[in-house]
Amino acid sequence: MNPLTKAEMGPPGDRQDSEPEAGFALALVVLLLFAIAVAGATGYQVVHSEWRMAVQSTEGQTALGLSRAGLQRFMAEQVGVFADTVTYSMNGGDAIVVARKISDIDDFSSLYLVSSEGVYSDPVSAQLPARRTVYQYAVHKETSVDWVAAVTQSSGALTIESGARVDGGDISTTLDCPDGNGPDIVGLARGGNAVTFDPDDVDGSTDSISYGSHASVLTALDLSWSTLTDPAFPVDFQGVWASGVAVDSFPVVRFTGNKIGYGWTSGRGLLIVTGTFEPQWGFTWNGVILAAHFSPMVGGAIWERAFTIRGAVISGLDGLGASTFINSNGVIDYHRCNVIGATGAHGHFRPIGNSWWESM
Amino acid sequence: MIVALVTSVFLVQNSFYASVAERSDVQDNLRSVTQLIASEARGVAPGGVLVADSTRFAFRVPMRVAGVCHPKGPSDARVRIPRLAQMVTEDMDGYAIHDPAGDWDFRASTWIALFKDNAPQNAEDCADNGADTTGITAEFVNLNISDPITLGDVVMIFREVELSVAMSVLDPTHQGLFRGPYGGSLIEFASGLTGVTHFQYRLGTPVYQTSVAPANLQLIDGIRLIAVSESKRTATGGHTYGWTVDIPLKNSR
Repeated sequence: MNPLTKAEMGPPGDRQDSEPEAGFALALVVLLLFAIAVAGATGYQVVHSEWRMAVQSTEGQTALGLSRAGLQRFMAEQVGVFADTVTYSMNGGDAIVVARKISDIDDFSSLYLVSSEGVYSDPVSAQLPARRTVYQYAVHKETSVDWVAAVTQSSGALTIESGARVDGGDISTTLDCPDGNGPDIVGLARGGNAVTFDPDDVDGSTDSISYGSHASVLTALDLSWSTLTDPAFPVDFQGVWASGVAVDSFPVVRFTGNKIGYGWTSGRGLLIVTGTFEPQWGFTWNGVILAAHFSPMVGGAIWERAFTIRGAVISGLDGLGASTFINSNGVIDYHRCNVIGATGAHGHFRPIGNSWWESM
Repeated sequence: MIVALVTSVFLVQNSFYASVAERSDVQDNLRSVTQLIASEARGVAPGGVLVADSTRFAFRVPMRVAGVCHPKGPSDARVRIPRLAQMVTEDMDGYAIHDPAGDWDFRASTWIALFKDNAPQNAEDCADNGADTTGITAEFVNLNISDPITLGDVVMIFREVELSVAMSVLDPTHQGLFRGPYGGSLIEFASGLTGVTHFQYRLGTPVYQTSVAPANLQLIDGIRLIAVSESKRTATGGHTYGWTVDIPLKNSR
């Protein structure tokens, strides 16, 4: 490129006037562009901070929802043996539920404190997860029934034939289970109906007590017969005798309608019969029998009528008032370990109302 | 020409971001108001509401609920208090016994009067009754509760909180939300609220009321906060943002 001549460059005064003006505009534009950039960055930070606060707020709310849901789910789902720590993954987060025993209350219930920590982090958030913890106390019903006697007849007359044995004295020992060799319980408990027996055939802390009515008996037993007999309520064996189970386990066996128990169907656990249950031919049961109507065989030979229950029997649960006759070859002995084992399969939580709070 | 264009862009952008920042401010005010109230009020128990009108809401809120694990006798109850180390004992205003009907019987007290000892024997006594004490023996304490209590009872340790909508100290042209101990000095923690801001109360029906007679306080099972926050900067023309939040009282249903 050829350099400009003086004539092409023009007079010196023109150059001196135009150069400062052009530089001022450039500097001002650059300054304003910088200011715009700074304002933009600041605005971004404002919006970003607002977004982060909104995300944090949402995370906190979600964590609280998770903790509450976890608490409710744990209380509702636990039946029988339960883990003391459970983690539920829900809605993109976790609920960590811990149940810790506060104390035993009695044979049938314990006090637990259940905590649930909801943990949630929004996938687009780089922050630490939000955590909210809620607590609630609950009574854990250790058993499905609060047994009160070796034989309980909630409705219908009860007759113990001379020669039979009903004993509320605990025949278990601490070798059977840690809770063995427990206190004696009542021999016979009934609703409002008549009971006939020879005192020599019935024993216990008290031979016989009356609760006055079928409803009162159910209340004392804390027993929900409609729940236990609901086909939707899960049991280990429905309509068949237990098989293939560990010899020291206590399965739940349920029959819908009437059922006869023979010596070769003997077993252990919780036996639920929604109709009439008739034990005979040396039938032996180690556990608890719940029946709408418990009706051992009447008449026949000794070996046909004989049966033995080591645990407890509760009859008349349908409230229809059918009578029960325990023949002279029937033996019902209270066995605390068998009763605890048989009824423990349906342990469950009952939240204590108004005892919920959130950790602050 | 270029200078004028760039200047115009700068001014418009500046106004826009000022407006965004102002919107954020009014929303932040409401967010802090609603979150604090919801967190504190959710656990209010039946019988725990002390004052309920349109601008004042005072209530007892559980700080902890203790489980009785070894009641030895009058004024001698071993309990477990969860997260005892984190509890601000100075805030305590009393305790409540959970009666057989499921209601709380409130008693005014202080931690100094209620706390008896935290001897290691407390945890051992409770363990004898089946308590799981692993790693938390320090949470088993002996309380001086004169009411008859039995194994398996629960005891609430509560504080009394007051929330009030009143003329702001920080921004005297607006209302503010104040919080503090019931009957004590309240501290403003949110400002910029309009006079529309107020509390409403539900008494077992879908209808909300702006004030509740003392005889009906125990019926309250939900509260509603209607809050409006505003900013009136002349540069942006001002912004108003309203928010209504319903808070069912978990323990009252």
